[in-house]
Amino acid sequence: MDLLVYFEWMESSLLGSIGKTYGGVYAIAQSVHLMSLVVLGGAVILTDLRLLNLTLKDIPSETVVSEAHQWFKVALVSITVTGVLWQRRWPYVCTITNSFGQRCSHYSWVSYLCSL
Amino acid sequence: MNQQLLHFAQWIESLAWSRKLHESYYMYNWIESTHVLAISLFLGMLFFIDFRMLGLTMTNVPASRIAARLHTPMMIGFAVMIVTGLLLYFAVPVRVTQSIWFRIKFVLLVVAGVNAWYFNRKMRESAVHWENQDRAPKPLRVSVSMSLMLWAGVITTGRLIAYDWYDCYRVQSEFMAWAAGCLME
Repeated sequence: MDLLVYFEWMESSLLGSIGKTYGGVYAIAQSVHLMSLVVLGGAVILTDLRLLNLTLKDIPSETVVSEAHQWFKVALVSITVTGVLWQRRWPYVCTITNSFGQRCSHYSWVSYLCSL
Repeated sequence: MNQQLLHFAQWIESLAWSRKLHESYYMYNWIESTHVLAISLFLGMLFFIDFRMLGLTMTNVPASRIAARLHTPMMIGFAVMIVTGLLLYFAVPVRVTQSIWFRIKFVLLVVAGVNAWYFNRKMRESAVHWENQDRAPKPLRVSVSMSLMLWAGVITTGRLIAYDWYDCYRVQSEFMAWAAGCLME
């Protein structure tokens, strides 16, 4: 499948044209994306620090992991939705940028690990 | 005031290191990425403390314990965030100084700092009475809600600095030009 065709379709879609016409909508999507990243990052760091026994040592790791996981899931949904909105504005740039490809492969690994 | 700020920014911009950082191929990007990661660490920890105060997570763990344990990683994130933020300003001082979004962000940061001081003081005074409850008392919850809104505002305005809607080269109202610190040289 040619990804470019898919991304060109995204660019011409309603959301793509909204993103291109109204910069404010795009900026708000970016901001929400960043806030979701903060919550997602916080959940991951909290879990990692607890599992590495670096903080919250006196709280059972199951408690920390399960509570952080709830927020991780919420943030993952939000980051995905706003990420798609973000990408719809410049889908072609995303397609040809190497960093974006690497990011997608990392992202799919994270999503896969989360589903375990 | 605007004149002095502009002169200060122009002085920074005249430094060789500022230009080198601005024109660097990789360094600026690395600093920006580190800034975002540090924000994740700092605000990630802060949001979890705030969520606990609002009764949204780990309600079976004393609130003051969560706050105390997450304080160190949060402050490490804060320090890195400030250093990288200053470096980002150092690279593009004039444009950032004359950005309405940066100015709003700075005000929000100051208000968030005052709010954090108030929250810490109130929590230290009263934590023994409520720390095992699901939620903090109302004054603290108000402070926590303000913290979440203020930091969301900081993130949003920080992101909006990248946009040139109100940059000084554009035609805009007198008020906006004054608020952004635009000066005719």
